[in-house]
Amino acid sequence: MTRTREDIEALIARTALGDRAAFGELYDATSAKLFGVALRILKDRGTAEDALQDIFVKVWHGADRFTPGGASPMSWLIAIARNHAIDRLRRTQAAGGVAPLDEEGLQVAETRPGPEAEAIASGERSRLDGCLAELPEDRSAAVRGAYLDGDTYQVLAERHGVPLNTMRTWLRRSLLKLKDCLTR
Amino acid sequence: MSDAADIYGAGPGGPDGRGDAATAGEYALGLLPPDEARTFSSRMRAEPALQSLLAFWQERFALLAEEEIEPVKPPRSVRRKIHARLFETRPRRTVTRFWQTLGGLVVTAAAAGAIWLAVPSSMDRGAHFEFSAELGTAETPVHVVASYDEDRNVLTVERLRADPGPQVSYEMWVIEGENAPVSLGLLPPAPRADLFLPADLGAGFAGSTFAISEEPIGGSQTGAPTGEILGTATFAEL
Repeated sequence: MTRTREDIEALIARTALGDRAAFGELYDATSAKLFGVALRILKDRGTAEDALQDIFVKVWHGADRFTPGGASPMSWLIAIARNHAIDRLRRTQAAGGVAPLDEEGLQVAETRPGPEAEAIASGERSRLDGCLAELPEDRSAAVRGAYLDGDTYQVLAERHGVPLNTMRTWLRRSLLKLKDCLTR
Repeated sequence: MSDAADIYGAGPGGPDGRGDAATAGEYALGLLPPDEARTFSSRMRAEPALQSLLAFWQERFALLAEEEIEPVKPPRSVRRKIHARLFETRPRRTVTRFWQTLGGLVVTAAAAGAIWLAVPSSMDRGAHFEFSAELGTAETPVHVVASYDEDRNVLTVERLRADPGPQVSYEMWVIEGENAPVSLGLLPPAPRADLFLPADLGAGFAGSTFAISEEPIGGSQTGAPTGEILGTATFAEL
């Protein structure tokens, strides 16, 4: 069942009022996508299922912080899902020497419309692809790996055979190029 | 981090806030070392521009997820567990909401011969249910569990899912054998409410049928169900 952006916004708004039926519909409409996001990062079904529970508990409690007309509702939900999965991943990695994030974890940006947080037009998707394609191939692979798989600088540096600081410099430069291209 | 300052564009002092744009991107990706992530979080509370930068990245990166990550259907157990975590312990927000609406609603229930009250979670411990009827499932539009406590002559109604909308009311009924349905009043708006039954009602719950019908606002005017029956369930002994 395909839901429009407006449908999802309305479901989030009703969830914010404590409407459980709307929350159930929101779950039915979006859980497969958010589960896909968590699974891709956590690579383990059981862990991703636990994460999905936490994600929707966060959505229920945080729904009143979503402002319609700003960020797209799916990107808001995806940010919550991804941040939670990353938090979990980093905590697991902490056992292996990567420091965890603080308890609050990553924040999700407020969704009120701002100069740079305007609603994204449908054409933005191909634009993002175009801008990523302007980066050298290994750089755009690093950005994708960091986002989609939650790769750390450590992982990226090893994969690309460069020192960690070099990797970081690369990635920051790539982000700025990407931003220039996207706002051109 | 002293080495961070050596990195191209790092730090808030970068030209035209470009350092911040890159840092916001790293934050969005979850790449910042913990101490820098904390610094960025606390700066963000005071600087709306940083919020905007983060929103910029989150919006764009989410496009990657929308495009490249295939949806995977989670097992049904996850939905049930979320429901149990959020609603079976009843968060404070819903209880508060209920008390705010109590005044206008007690009258209709009382008119049907029963009085219901919301139950704070601390009172749950005393309840001892003899019979229970689960009407609907997590998949149906109406999902209500009614449990009867013989000692107190109280029917506890858990409204797991029901959305009558503004045009109609949902009314509860108990049907004993071939007898005519007896109204239990309107479905309480609270997630969980105790229905204090009149003394003559309740004795026959075992094996009787629990039903919910759609009625005009305020409930059936005839004393019998007039609208669509939204579900029925049998009171089973626990």
